Amino acid sequence: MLHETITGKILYTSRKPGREGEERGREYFTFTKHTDGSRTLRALCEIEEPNPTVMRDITYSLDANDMPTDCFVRLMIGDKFMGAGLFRITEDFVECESFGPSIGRLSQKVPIVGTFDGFGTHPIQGDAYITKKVDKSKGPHIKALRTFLPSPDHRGATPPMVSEVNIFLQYVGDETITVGAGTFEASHFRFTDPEGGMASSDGAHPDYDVWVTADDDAIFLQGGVGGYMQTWYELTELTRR
Amino acid sequence: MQHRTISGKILYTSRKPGREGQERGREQFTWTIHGDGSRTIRALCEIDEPDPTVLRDVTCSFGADDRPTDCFVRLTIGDRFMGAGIFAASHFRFTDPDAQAHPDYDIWVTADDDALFLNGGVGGYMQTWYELTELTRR
Repeated sequence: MLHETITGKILYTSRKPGREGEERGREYFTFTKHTDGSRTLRALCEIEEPNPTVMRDITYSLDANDMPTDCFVRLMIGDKFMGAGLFRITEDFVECESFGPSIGRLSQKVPIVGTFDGFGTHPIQGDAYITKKVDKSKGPHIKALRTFLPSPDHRGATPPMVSEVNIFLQYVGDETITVGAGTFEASHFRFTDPEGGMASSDGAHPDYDVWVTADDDAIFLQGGVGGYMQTWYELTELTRR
Repeated sequence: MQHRTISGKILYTSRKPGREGQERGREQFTWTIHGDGSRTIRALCEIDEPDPTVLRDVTCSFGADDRPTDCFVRLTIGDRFMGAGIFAASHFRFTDPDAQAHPDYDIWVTADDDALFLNGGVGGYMQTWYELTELTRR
């Protein structure tokens, strides 16, 4: 094939007291990188804990400038179908065609009005890739991120529809780290939500540290969410071909 | 998780003279089978040969009766985006419980404002099946 392929597995574990290191889910992902510079990420994400369980299918594509073009989402919550939807993202609007037991058949076309940084898809690998929006040549600093999402829920567990979220992304610095999949040169970022741009019934999104490969692929290596979530994620398998 | 998972890889090879057994593509697939009997397949299919190459992403779901409920397809042909789409159907059942005359009649229609017939069938003594085989919108 003409494209390059990156596949991997991310293990989801807990850092809650008494459950440290216990597996609580997993994510299988495949990136394809095409000769025109576009990329597609597919991810199958399984969150076992806390209840209800979340199973998410994502097929998310970006153009050569790392701007989102289209995204398919399908959700099973508590092993029951919650919804499926296709999003199309242009410079001017986000379209959504979705359906589910609680929303019926939904069509949306939301004007973007102004600039934005990306589309938050909820797979951990998707979180990692949006760190490319930070200009690391400026050194450690904080960037405001304007994103659209298929769900504002912290676990992405609501029926697919267009949401806008404004959060912050801090570039902390580079270091060498070792994870289950090997030793890598990594860039460390931190998502923060000081203004409650992603607030839910659990409050603002807790700080979320991620380490990604310090190359153009920004592959997720390790990370975790503090606060009430106390989660940890680690890349355990990686193949490039 | 409550669901079962089946994952696999299918190798595409050639039987053309002179190319027997040569790899010409591959398919990675994952089925999940859920507690309510529904199931979803996601597949990444790569066809290297003949030109142009085909890269297909499919996420397709079926109800407990194995009838399709929704399907997403994304195609990259010759390493260039060709298109992406989603298809959703709504499933209805006509019943006649008071008179017990007409057998149950299941229909699937497009899940949009047009409610176009897609497929369906009548049970009981009728045992009929209907399927949309041509469709034009203009």
